[in-house]
Amino acid sequence: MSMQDSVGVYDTAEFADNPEARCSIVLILDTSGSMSGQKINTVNQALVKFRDIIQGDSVTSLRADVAIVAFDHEPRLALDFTNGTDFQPPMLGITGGTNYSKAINLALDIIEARKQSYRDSGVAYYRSLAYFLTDGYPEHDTPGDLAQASARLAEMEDNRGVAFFFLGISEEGLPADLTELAKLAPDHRPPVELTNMEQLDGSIQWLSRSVAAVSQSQPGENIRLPEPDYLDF
Amino acid sequence: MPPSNRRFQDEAGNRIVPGEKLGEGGEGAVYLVEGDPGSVVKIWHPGRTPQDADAKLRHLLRNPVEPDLGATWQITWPQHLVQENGVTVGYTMPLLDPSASWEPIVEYYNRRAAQATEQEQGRELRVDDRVRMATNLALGFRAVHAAGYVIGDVNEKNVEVNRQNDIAMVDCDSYGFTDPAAGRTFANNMGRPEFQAPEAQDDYTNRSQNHDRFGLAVIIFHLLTGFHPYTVVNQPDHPQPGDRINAWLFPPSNRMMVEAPAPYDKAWDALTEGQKELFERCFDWQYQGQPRPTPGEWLEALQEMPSDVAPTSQPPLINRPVAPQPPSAGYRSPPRPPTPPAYRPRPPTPAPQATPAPAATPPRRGIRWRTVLIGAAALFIAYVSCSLVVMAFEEWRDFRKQREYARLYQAATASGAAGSAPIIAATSSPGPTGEPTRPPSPTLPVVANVSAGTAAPPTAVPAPTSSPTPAATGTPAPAPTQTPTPVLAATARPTPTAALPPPPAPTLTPVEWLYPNATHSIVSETVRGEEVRLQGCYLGKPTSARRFRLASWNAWDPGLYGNRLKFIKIITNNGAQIPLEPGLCYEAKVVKHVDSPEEYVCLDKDTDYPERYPCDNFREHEVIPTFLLYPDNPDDPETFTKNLVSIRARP
Repeated sequence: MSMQDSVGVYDTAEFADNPEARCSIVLILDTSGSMSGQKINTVNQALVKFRDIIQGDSVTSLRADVAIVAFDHEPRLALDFTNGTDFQPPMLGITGGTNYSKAINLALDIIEARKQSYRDSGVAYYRSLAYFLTDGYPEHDTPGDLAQASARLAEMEDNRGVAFFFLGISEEGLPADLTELAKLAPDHRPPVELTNMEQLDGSIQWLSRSVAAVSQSQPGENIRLPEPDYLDF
Repeated sequence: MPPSNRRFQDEAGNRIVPGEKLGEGGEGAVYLVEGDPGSVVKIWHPGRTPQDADAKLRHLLRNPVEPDLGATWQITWPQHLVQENGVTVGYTMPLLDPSASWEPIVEYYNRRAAQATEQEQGRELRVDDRVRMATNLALGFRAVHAAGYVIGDVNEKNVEVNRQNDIAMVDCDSYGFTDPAAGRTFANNMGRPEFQAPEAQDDYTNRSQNHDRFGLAVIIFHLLTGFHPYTVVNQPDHPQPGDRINAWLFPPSNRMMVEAPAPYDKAWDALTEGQKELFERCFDWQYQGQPRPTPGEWLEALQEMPSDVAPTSQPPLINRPVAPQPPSAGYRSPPRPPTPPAYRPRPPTPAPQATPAPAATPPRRGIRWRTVLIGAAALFIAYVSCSLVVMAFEEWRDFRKQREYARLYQAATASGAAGSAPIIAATSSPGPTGEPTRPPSPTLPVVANVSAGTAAPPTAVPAPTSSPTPAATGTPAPAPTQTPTPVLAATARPTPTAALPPPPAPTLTPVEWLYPNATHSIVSETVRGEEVRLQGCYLGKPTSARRFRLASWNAWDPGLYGNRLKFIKIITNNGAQIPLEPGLCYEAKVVKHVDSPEEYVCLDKDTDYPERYPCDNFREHEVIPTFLLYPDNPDDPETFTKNLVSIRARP
């Protein structure tokens, strides 16, 4: 049984009660051992601020569907898609190991399943956002796995089905392996390096403002994401 | 600089002092005004002052839109310029009464949000409430249009509603107009695609009041049905709201081609004919190019109520945080005398019954699902019973064979073939046990299991070396002369004669090949670390890399993706454990009786979603199927050790 059998089982009442167009967001967060301490605390706090920004606007909270995939050597669905009005971020804990491709595949699976739910119930939807955060190396992946995940990701990007953002946290003496992330990331959106906790916090807030963009007036029909000013810290 | 450090004046030179900040957006911030409790001031962020703000604002000041006293709609119209050092940086406008519970209209027409609104305001929102809101909105639009303005950016946050169902139109500084004196048009280029007319989807710069009417109709549609008009199911090519508007995917006008969810259809059917007609004139592509219904026409059509669409039965949301609202200034209403509302609904006429879904829209979905489920259940039951029958038959056949083998074995051991005992014990699979076979060979004390599927007769067959002469005893004549490769030696004969050569003592070690003539062999290639991938080899030709599960349960990794297991050792059926060395190639051959094909799994190559299918093509072979197996239950080592017979490192 694939993961698609268990997610994407939606409640029709949910979409009848709230037929607003959706922007689905998946946060894919590294919870391997190296993230313990200050990093995971910053992430947990940033998720709370993320929630506050999402819920701060009537339309954004109705349009945001948030899921969280936490991964170590295995991915797990820490939070299935939850509407912004109900979103409460779980506290993430630390486990072990690091496998990127499984986490990416799980995220893409749940996004595709969610979009099928939208189509089945008539809900319009915007391009999904995926935010991938790590501080380490893909020690449990094989090159074949990474290549497959990267190809699948690139295809969805080309179809404008998802916008994937890769972020690596570096610390002094412990740089994130951006080379692996660069192979996974789409060419037009290379991975971003975060060098301190303020940038990490800022990046998650930037994500919440990106979600809020679907509820703001724009000068044209294309939704523009806000500038990634979190790197200014 | 914070506003307190800056000096602001209105156009007449009066000092304006910003007070408490009420909210902030991307463009600017809104503050209370010290000394003027009924007003607020909006100040644009430095550098974000819109182009021509001064000229626009002066025109708005000279040509205000003002609701009548006691009107049920309000508008936060700019009242004074705010200038700093002679440059216009903002404006003042009336404050909407904070105690009136003003909320963006989406909080009323979205059912989910409306549940929270109902709880906060302590009232139930019914159809007549929403119709009243729609009517008041039409009144506001009529006044704005009558004054010659184009709203442009119609959206669900620019209209607010209070607990009396009054409407307030906000963000008026962005309205567009033509100034004949200046000879130019001031336009607003912002918008939200879901409220923009199809012809304006690609270009927001040239909008007219006809485009506003589209946005008005979208909001009224939301109020009366709870849905956006262009709500369609199964349209993967039109995911975004703007895509659907562009393609005119309006279900009521196009039922053959597009489908709406059932609640939408139900709500549409509840509308009055007059309302339906106006909506079609807005949203149906047949009417494109024609002027859309004016606010005045809406006022008339809204005098009748649609039949009440059943509210949802969901409980109200409990812990929903009350979001801090962005600044919403408003009209300072004088202490309002208890005037009757401008809109008074007619006593509801015996409305057309809210017939539960007339024949036009039967619950197609429900019937379809039910039929499918019943059909699927029936098929499933049929499949299961057939499988059970087949399995039972095979069990019976195996049982018979097993008894036969046991009998033969008894006879064989009785005749002194003691050495074969360990072999038989080693392959204790639930099928026929091994039987002593083959003519003696120095390297191959072979134990062979016969596939249950083979047609080979289980009974004795004369072996080349033995002198079969059946005449010796009255044993039942051997069955046909065909010789399956695991030949039963004449020792199978029950006759304990000295003519039978004793089978050699087998030396079963983990690295012995027990079955040399298998048609399959597997060549391994170590990829990385402890992981082993195995490449198949079929009839001597290498196949593409197939991954097989060679499970050591210590390293079982039943991941959903890739099923990339970490093999660290092989455990043979006599308990020996062979660690796998990276870089070495391994060959493995397995002998097993095919009891149930589900115990075999062949993973398709290089996919992350391996298809499980039984390798039942090997059942056809009379030779022993020789694939590596993995246990169905990784926690049960016995399943595995029963099956795996031997493995060795390739020299």
